Amino acid sequence: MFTKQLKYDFMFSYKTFFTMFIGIIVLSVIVRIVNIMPDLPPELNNILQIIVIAAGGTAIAVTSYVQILLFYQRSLFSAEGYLSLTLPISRGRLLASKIITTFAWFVFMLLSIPIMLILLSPPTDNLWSAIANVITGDFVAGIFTYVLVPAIALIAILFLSITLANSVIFNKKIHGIVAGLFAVVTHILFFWGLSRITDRFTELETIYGGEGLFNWSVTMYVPQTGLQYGRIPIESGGFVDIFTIAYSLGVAGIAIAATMYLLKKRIALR
Amino acid sequence: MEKILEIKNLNKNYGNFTAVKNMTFDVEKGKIVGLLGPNGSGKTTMIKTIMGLMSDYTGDVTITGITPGPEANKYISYLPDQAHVPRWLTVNQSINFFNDFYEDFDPKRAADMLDQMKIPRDKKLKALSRGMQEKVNLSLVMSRRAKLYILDEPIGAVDPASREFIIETILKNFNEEGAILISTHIIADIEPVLDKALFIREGELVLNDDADKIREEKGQSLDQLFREVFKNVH
Repeated sequence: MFTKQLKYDFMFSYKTFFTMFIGIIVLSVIVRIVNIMPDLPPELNNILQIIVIAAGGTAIAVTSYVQILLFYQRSLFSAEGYLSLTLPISRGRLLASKIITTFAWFVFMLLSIPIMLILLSPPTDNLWSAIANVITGDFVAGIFTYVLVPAIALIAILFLSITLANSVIFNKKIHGIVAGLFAVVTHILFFWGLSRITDRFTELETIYGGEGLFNWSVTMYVPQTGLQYGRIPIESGGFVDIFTIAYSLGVAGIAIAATMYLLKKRIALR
Repeated sequence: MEKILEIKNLNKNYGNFTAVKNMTFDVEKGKIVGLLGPNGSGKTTMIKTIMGLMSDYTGDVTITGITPGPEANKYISYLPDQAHVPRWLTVNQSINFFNDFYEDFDPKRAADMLDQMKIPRDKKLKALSRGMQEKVNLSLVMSRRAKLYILDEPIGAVDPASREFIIETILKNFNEEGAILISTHIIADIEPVLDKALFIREGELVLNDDADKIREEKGQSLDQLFREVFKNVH
């Protein structure tokens, strides 16, 4: 029954994420075609590339986030919730299915970034060796430690925010505000904690970004000893990866446990 | 007689407002029970509590001896007061959905019912009219061999001809080894099929008895009695 729930969750969400994915690829192809037009000044080519990469990356992040939010809200707390929450499937499995589906789409959307970069890169005879040079063990370890595992925590926090807003604790007039505030605060705290863990155990410098405008924490990992993604040199051994991963998984675990408690004991489907 | 649904001293509050007060009743096997009350009387709140959609209540609720939750939901076929089957599914996909999740679902029966109603099975639910969507939802719910059917306002938003059709569908398809709890404020159409009537006013049960007995003792129909009991309630 769990696999069936997964099937329907994927069916519900695939069109949205595929459409976004295809949209980004198409946009990249268009820019690439424009890029190879001989009469176009090189400055304009570069500007176009930068705009597409920046806009594409931002669009991926923002749109994915909103779609994830809508997916969870609609499937559990809209009219469809009268079916989802009355199925003969435990709340834990229901939640697990949503998390797995969301995470799968997150990874899928992440793949659009390298594809976009490949499409926009200057032509080269050694494309595959260029790719192989980037995708080293360190790179993969860095993506795993600093992108994929924290993504699980972020998804769990987002789901907790939405569930909290739909619980008996808050009335329906303010539940949107509650969800928004809770999500913002917990995201900031999560990234802050992540950067503290990394600062303490690594030689990496962590930088907060975006503080001026929204006071969000966006942690960027800049190795002090050159571009070595994922390489965390510490004196006592490679524990920092474990600490960072454990922190993210710990936060995810707490958020998931809290969400399950609310779904079981404090839900108020309106 | 086997009790399918038992409710004892159920209380549910929303902050300072008491939606359900000290409600006690049961639904026996083979019976069709009407939960009758005006809008806002607590019918839907009580049903949501039975379905596990509303927690934070006091009292005892059991369905074939099981407390509300996923285990109890195996035995309950629930039709809420709004369209709940995902509207992005086609009619055929919705049949498959119910077949995937409910062991007691009969896909052939559902398909036959929908074909009789001339509902195109390859269309998405959102492409159908509201009345057709409600018929699809009802067909799916009544195609299960459930122990308890809970129908929340099944005839509230449809025309009189459709009401008659819905009531016929309910009677023809319900599992006689189970029971039905129908919540409604439109009494006249549903009265002929009821075995038992529960009148609920402002969260409290004001009448709980066999439908025939009520008619005999009061000398009037349930509809007339309902209008009398609730005439000052808005």
